[in-house]
Amino acid sequence: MDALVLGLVLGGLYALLAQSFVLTFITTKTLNFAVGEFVALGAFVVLAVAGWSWLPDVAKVAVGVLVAAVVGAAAYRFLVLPFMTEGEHDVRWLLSTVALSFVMLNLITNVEGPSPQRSETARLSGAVDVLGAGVSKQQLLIAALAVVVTVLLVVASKKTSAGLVMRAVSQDPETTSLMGVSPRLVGMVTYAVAMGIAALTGTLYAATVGASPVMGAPLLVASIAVAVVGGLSSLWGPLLGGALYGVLSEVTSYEFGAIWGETAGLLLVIVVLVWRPQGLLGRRTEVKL
Amino acid sequence: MSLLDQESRSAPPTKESSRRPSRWASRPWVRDALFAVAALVVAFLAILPGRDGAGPSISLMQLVASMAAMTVAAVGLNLLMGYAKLVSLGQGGFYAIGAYATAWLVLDGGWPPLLAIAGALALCGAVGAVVAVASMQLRGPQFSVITLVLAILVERILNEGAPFGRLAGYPNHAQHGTTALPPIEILGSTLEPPMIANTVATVMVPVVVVTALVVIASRNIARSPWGSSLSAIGESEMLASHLGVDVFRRKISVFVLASVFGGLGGVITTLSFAHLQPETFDIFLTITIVLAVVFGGSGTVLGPLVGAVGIVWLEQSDILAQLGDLQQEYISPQWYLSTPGLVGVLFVLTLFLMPRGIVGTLGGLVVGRRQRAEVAEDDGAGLQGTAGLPAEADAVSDAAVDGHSPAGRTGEPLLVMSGVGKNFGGLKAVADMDLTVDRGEIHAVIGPNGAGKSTLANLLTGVYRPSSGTVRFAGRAITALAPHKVARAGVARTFQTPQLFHDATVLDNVLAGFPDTGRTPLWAAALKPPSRYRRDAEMRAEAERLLHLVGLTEFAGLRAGELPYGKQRALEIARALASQPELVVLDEPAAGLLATETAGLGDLLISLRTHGYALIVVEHHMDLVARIADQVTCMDQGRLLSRGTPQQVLSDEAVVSAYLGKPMEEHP
Amino acid sequence: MSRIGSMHKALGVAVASALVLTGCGGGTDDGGATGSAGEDGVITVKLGVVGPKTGPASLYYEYMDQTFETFFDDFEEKYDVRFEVVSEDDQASPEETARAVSRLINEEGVHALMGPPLSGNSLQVADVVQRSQLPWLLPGPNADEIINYDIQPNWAFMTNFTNQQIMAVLGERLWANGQKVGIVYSADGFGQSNREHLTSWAEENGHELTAEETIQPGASDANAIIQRFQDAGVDSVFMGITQGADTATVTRAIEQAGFEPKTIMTTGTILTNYRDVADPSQWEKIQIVDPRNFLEGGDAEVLAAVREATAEDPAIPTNNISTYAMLDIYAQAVQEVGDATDFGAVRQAMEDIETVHIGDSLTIENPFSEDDHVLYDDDPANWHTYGFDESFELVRLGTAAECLQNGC
Repeated sequence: MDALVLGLVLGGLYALLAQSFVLTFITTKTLNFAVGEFVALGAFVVLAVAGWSWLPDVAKVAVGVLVAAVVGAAAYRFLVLPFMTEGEHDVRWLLSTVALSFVMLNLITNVEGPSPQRSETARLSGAVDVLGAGVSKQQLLIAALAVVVTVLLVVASKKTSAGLVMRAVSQDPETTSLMGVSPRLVGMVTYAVAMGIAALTGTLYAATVGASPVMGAPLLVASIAVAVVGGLSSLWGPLLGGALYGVLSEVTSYEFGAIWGETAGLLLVIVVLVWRPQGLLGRRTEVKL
Repeated sequence: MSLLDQESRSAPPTKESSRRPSRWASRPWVRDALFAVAALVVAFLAILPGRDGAGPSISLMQLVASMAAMTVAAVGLNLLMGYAKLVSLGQGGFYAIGAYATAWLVLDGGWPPLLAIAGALALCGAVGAVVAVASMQLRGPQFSVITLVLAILVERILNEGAPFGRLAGYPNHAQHGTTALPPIEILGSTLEPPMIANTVATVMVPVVVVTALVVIASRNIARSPWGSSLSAIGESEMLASHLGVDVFRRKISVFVLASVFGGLGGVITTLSFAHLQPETFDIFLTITIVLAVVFGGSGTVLGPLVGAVGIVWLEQSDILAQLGDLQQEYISPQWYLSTPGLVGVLFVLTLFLMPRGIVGTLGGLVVGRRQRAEVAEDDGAGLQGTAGLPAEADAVSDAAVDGHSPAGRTGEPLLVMSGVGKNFGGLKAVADMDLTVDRGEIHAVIGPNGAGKSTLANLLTGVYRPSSGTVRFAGRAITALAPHKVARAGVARTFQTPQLFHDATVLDNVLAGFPDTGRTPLWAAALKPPSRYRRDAEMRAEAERLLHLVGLTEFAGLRAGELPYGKQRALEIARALASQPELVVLDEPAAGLLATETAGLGDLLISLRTHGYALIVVEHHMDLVARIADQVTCMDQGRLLSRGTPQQVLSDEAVVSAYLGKPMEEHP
Repeated sequence: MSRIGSMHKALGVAVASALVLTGCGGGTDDGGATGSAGEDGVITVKLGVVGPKTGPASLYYEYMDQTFETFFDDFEEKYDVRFEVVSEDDQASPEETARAVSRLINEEGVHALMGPPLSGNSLQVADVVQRSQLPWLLPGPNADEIINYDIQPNWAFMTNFTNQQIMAVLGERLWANGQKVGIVYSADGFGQSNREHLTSWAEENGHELTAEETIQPGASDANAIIQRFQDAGVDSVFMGITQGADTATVTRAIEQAGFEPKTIMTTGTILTNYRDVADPSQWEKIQIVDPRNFLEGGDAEVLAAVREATAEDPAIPTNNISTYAMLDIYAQAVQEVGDATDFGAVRQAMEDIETVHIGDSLTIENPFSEDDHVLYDDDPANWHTYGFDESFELVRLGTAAECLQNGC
């Protein structure tokens, strides 16, 4: 039971970050391999404004999210868009986002030093009892946010015109561009939102583990795994994927030792992909002749 | 043949060589020999400074060894990623398996070194085969993720597996009494790694020779029909299977080959560094190999080599460290980039300045200039022609002389489809259809949208398995055979939207149509025996004939993507003919053509009939159908509506009302 | 490369960019480093230093750099030995370490090699350095596996404690009163080596390890680990964890689960990166053992001097001290031999050293012998046990022997 609760909570953390992969994939068919550094960027921006005592914590977090969103949009415009022009096999964006990750990681390390720094913003200390399991309030907050963010995104994509445009672009970029919608703008907005979410994850996660340049790296593989298990083309995917991945790895850790937890999660990825390549909730795209 | 390689086999193009006396150096075998010699010379030059084992040469030899290992792994990945477009993040995993398995088999297994290396490579190949089967349905990020998971799991095993020394490394003195693998002996000579001053690093000789051989073999493979099949898979697996490629087996083969090369990189590491630490084989390694391929030029022969050498050199280079110091002095002690960040900046700059990687872009500039010059020289006689397809009857009669035309004339119909049906879920897309086509016959299939015409074509060519009924072709049952088997049986096809290799030359596109694409064995592709040269010459002559037939001779050296739409259709037909089919299925060949082009197409199809080809033409364009078809089948809602001569069918009331019942824009 | 940095400043932009353009390596033009006494009677030693100058592990280079900056002048004054550092970045990668070490030994012709600080990278080059036969100064690594005493003469010297030693000191304490012991160790060389030596100490002394769990560096929680400890009935925990941040993850889980073991022990690694990501309630019960006295005497003097000279906290306090000890040993040996290029004699002098100075007021007598190249020993009477107060200041609770006897 403990493992179940803690697994769901852990899955929430991965799901929140996985959402940034899913978002960029839905509209642009790209993944930003520098997401881990955006996690750190958000955390350090919030750390930088932590001293502004006139600002409430929520606003401080918003500053972090906003900065990451702007950098994210710029990253799409200047480092992703130019390198995806040659059709679906064009994977130069892979190189450019990895390069961005190198640059950001290096810069953050040089500026802030490699050691983790304490972050008090949006920090809830202590634990609460959930169905008999001690869960840290901070982790619970992150998991709750994963659900909230997902619901907001789903509602936005269905009810708002921006969301409709986003879905249209994901299905047929050429036609939508004929209709006067700029896929470039849509891509930038999506990257902004996605990197904002990464920064949000970073801020809240830093309150637990401290802000450090490498803080995003351990989350990266798990989040990609969660996004892929849930289905890269589904906004609900991260929640389902996160829940499965989190519970499976936590239960395995409890039963066989921590070292097997992550391994079980990775094996889950293999099983899901072999059985259902598009992920559990993903749509299959047929090859058209 | 490499379809995407800048260094195309078909350049210099036909006209050029036929017009001028062929230069000695332009003969294929001479060029191949020169390349091989150059590769070996470079290899030996690289290790020349280490010939006396002098101290200062040691770190250079270690650097060369790292570059060699990275090159071999990147060359393997390039076959997978550059040609078949499967972006694997698992190459580092195979590198690790190769490294550790070699060391383990030698030290713990007590195997003779050569056997141990072979065993390690076999293990890599076996793991590669399993991963290939497991990931068969995957493309894009899903494929990347599953291979990344593999690399992570391998690293995990090395970190946690007691037999491999875990983080104490392999070998370690608790388990083996030494931290260095003893130099191995092969064929009586001891292979010393570059470690200690005044010991000649003899291992460098096999290391660079093997690296050169791998580059040479990969070049041969990339430019063989086997390589074309990879490019076809990269373009579209469906297309590849229609070209007669057994996609399932070919994907396994290329993955195994890439894994073995990845493992070979690891073997080189083991032999050159004599001690393995799991930290070497982290995720960063696998990413570096991918970066090397993209940086150097994915899908080019020399790209992985240039990329690997460049990246390994950059990462250890003093220059970047100095740049970092300079920034600290003159910009800010904190806001600066040191080596890893500068490497990132350099990647981005490379992408901007050389979008196809170093080799891809530089090679493209050279080839592009050459091609532009040639097109200008041709003065676009073909471009000025109104029709995309030739109307001249002499083209046909020229070709008729050729012995390849399918002149078989027996009494039995060539194709007999009987009672064929296909259900998708509850929907009957095609029900109980019969279709008979004879040699030298053009059979048009018409019908409103959604009538099941394309489904019928797909049932015939093996894309779908029929739910019921049988298909017989040239006297054998081909019901439910896979597309590549149908293609090999003698059925070629074209597609609604032309599926070409846009970056390859027109001539290379036709060459990809030959049965060799599906049938050349890997060993023959890699070793390139003399018979390959003869066959290449034959194929070339035949391809030129086919280009002449469809009126594209002038454009042989042009990139297919640069052709106008109508000529792309003609090219696709030429490629279909290259497989020496008896039946060609054309899916809406007139779609998107200008009126004049449609007329030219009609002429071409009629000339094909004269040659004895049987044609099934799925078409909306009634004028064309009326002009060329011997028989017309009209379908509606998956069923036969009417059949007969064009006049009979087009005047059939049922046909007219079926068409009138549909919105206007769907009319021809 | 701070020395080289200041050189650039002096030379100005033009020369500096020329250096960049020609790809000239740093610190090669040190004509004075002959290894023997110059006109001023000072012996200039070319010290090759290899470590992760960049990247997340850069703290492991920084502690050496800090110690150099603080004490080089002192050593010159004390022993007439001047150090000229030629440094290489190993980027924390074993392959890069191998090349860096080759360059230092074969191209730069250094008189002694210091580093690499990470155990894994040291293991990668152990054989090469041993066979290259020059003094190998290892102030950083704790892994016993690096030195193989079967090879004599042995060129490697370590001034940190080793994992085998700390387990010998800790073992009794962990298993005191029949407690059930669980170890959580990080999935890296340091952690694995800890586990290995704790296990073999337990075996030799008739104890049994009740639970052993790995924590991945950067893991987001350790709940399962603690749960398994509780289920196994563990009431004495040893944390062999490299990064303070991961230690914090474990103590957070301990608090969250309401787990209350009688003993929680760890190593000096907790001094780096732990406090900033943990709360006082989590470190209340933690104790560490270390052969160094961080609060008074020579060890404390070294740390204070580093703080004063660099205006920074010591990057890794334990290793700042061991770097000092290493330089002291080597400088004495060079002074005695009079020629740093006589590697064999210098090595012998190091092995035979009588008194090692740490700061002004601590000395260690006769630390080395032919098959003991490790500065410290495993006598609990020479080790200190520390706890932490509210603000994570160290509180010395007594020697390890005292704590074993009386409980701490």
